[in-house]
Amino acid sequence: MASFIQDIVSGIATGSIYGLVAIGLVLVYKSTGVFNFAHGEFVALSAFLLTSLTAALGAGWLAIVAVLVIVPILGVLVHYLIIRPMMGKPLLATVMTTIGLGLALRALILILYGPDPRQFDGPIPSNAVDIGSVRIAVSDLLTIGIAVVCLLLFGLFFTRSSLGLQMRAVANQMEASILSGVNASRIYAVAFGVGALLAAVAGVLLASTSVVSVQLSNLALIAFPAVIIGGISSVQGAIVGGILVGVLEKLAEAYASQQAAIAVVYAVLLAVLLLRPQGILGTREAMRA
Amino acid sequence: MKINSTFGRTAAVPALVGGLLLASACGSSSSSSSFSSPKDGVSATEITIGMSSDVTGPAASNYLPYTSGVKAYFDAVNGKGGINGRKVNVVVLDDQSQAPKGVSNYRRFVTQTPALAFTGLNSTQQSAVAAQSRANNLPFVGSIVTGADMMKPFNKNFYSLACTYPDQAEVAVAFMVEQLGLAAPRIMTSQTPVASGNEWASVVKELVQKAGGTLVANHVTEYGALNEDVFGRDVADKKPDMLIAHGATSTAQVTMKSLAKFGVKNLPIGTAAVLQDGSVPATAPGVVNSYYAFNCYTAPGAAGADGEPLIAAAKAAGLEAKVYDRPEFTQGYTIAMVMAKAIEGAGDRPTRDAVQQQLDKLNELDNGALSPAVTFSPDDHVGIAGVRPYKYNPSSGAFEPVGEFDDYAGCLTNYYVTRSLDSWNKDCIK
Repeated sequence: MASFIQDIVSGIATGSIYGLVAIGLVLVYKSTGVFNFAHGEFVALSAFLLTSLTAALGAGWLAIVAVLVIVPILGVLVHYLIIRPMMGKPLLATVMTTIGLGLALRALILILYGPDPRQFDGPIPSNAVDIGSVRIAVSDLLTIGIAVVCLLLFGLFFTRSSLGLQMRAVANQMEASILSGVNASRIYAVAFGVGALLAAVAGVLLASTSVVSVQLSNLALIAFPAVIIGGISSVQGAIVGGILVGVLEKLAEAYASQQAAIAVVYAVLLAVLLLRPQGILGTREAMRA
Repeated sequence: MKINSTFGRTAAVPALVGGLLLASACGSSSSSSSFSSPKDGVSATEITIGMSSDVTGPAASNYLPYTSGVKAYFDAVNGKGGINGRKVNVVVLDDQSQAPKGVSNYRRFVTQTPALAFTGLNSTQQSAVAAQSRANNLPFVGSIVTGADMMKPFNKNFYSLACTYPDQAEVAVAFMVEQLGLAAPRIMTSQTPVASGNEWASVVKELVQKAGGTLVANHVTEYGALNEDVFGRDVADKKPDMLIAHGATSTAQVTMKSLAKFGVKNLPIGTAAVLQDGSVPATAPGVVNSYYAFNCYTAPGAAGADGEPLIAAAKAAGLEAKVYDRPEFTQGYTIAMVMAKAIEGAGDRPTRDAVQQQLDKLNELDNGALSPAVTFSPDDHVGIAGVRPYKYNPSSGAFEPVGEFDDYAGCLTNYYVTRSLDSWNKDCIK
């Protein structure tokens, strides 16, 4: 029983990272209608940037703050330089642009840093604490906490703040929103910036709990099922989907095999698509005949 | 007489033409510039060597030194004028450790961009091309690893230049059991989900049982996993006497982090050759009690190694020590050396068949004692026979060889030829 609870806790911690990445994807999609396939590369880039800045600045916390500032700026720049010129073009072309951007960023990381995995010995404690029979790393507790805070903050942001409401309006009715005076381009830029910020948060946490390698880019591939399971239009759903994927993965790994974990996650994805296509917390879109 | 005279003049013309042709042919045999065989990857001025390696994928940190070793050797050869007047062009294609890409790359070098010889691929990719490699005549000269499917049944086109996984496991289990002095050791294994990983886990299990011990559990570590917490928890729960590990640097580092998270301390670890990388134990220093890798290649800069020629070639190629001072670099360099020796022996008209004939009689090729000497015969393509432990020294960050290759020769069953571990026993170390 203790092992079972331990695996659930490990799953929640891993799933919280998936959830953070998934929120970034949902946020950009919710605001712009674009699925950003370069999101995983932003996670990896943030982690690598953190190792460089730590070496340059000598202080882990300072480097973390720098990454959380620099990467969102990169996100905004990506919007203005690459995504904005695609506005009005077919959606497929924009999606292909994000795929191309992801490949370019991955190549850039390899050129700048090489293929060797790196370590980040930052200020986030690496020790673990025992709560009853369950052992949990302080970094995992921090990850879960940050995921919960993000969930609450973005929930409030989209329902209470003017900017959040404008983002939802642009996502639902872009033309009507523009006619109402909403600056859609600014909204898109903010969405990409905040999405990149979430990728940076995930990158920092992963650098502290895992190893820094270009393979972190693949995280977005695991976050995609989380987004679909949770509901592609729901920030809360992204976290719920992420945690569900994380827990399923760990339980399948513990009681079947590592390979079974992937099968279980995609089986659940298929079941959700069949039974509740809008996802667990997503809302069904009304279509006018 | 007249007839004879006429005959003589008439015969003189073809005789003259024949003589000129003969002279021309003789000339061509003494000059490489007029022989070419595009289907073998040989032009008048250039020889193509095909290579498929993980350049940007999850095992790139292991494959980069190997790729660099191959290129550095041929760069040095080209700097001295090439082989019999031809420059060697090493064409490297990235396979990212993915089976479909590896197969596609291999096929390309068989026919589309023909190569005179080929090197590369991981064990799973090798399994995927095993049947094809038996059906064509492209000499496949080793890789960083040797997959069982390339060797069993005998493959006349494949030349192994890695210490085989059974060889590594045979020395690893005997050495680790001897080190701990336990009558009934409890051992855990880990592997990545590739063909060599499956072979590693299965051979270690059989050897552990022969040594009177128990295999407590085997864990598969996935490329790209964020953590190995289930494995970490399992090790903490089951408390094995040692871990015998297979994998890649990135998967091993993630595993070390999870072992640390679950409070695992002072665990003796013995690993396959590819984990001879100081960054693995350094990831979580408290976790490891002693860390040994079992390998047949020595890094050029290791204590007591005569790696100067390799280091000079690496520096000439502009490589950093973190790339060249690795056993994989020595391995790549040795593979290139073997290829070059065979191509040179094939003379001015190198073809795949001629290179194979030369490989089949390669005898005691020495790379400066950085590995056992390389020997092939027509019916034995295990070129490297010998494995020894390399101990990680935490203070220097380097691996130090433990004894000589001969000390462990009694542990080797030559499994790929004998197909049996029956002759192995745990007291095999000299």
